[in-house]
Amino acid sequence: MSTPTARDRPAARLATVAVAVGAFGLAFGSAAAAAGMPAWLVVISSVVVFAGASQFAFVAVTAVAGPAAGAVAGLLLNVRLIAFGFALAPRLGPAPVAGRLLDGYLTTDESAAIALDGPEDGTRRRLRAAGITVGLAWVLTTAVGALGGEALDVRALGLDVAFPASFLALMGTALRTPTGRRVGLVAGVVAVALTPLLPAGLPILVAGLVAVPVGLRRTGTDA
Amino acid sequence: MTGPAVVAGVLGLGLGTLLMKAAGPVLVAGRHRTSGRLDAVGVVLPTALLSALVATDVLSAGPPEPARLAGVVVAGGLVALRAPFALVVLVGSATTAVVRLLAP
Repeated sequence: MSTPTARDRPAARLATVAVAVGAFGLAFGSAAAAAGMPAWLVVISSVVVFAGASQFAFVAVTAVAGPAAGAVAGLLLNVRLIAFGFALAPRLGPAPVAGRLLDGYLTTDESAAIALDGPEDGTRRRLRAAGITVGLAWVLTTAVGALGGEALDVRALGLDVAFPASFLALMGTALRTPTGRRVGLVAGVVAVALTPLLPAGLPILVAGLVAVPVGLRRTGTDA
Repeated sequence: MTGPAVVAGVLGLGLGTLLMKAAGPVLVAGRHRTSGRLDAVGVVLPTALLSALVATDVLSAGPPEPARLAGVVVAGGLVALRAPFALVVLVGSATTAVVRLLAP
């Protein structure tokens, strides 16, 4: 993710992220439509929430436990975005409150990764360029997925795998360090072990919190 | 999946998500630097959460479907080879699609 060639060609990098987000968007839109969410609400969700994994979780949990539980599961997944916001903040520099709210709205897994990878003085520019690119790709493809959900066979196209595959890709840089691999392994094992025991969403959060001390011990900054 | 309660759930999730996303930029940007330790948490926590998401997505519903597992393993291999993001997602999905086609 931090190869010099990718950093030298920001447009190519934004295009690849847009394609990946688009695949995820088609998968989410069609899955939400298949679960009975009307297309207009899928699009509102993409504009208002603008955090794909939590929107997926909302649909999955709402289907079995109602919208309140769905919203809580989605919010727990998005706790990680607090960390992204605080990682970005010191590099953003001064701006009016409205501008900083916009920075927050445009923060996603993908835009934060791009914004954090490069010289500090270009952080806000990279965040906004990537955030707007991801947002357009996300809203358009979730709309297409929701409207064409019947025509598009998500499972036949393997698009359900876009979700774990995109998360693996987001972890790429971290997983190339020993600390990152240790954190990933501990979090994965804990989450799977707790899944039968806790309500949906909680195993993810607990696994995340349990793994943080593992990452900070000894070699805390190389992940 | 429709009605006022579902719409309220979506809007509540959206408002809460914006508050969490904007907390850092609104409270900190341009004022002072966070500690190196907080920066480290900001790197470690997402890795842990993403890994937990992948693991539960693939393994939590009992034994994994072979086609799905194949796609995720291929995607992981491509990540190890430093393949670009889109290639990881598209080839991973295509792998699952092909395995499902051959062995439904």
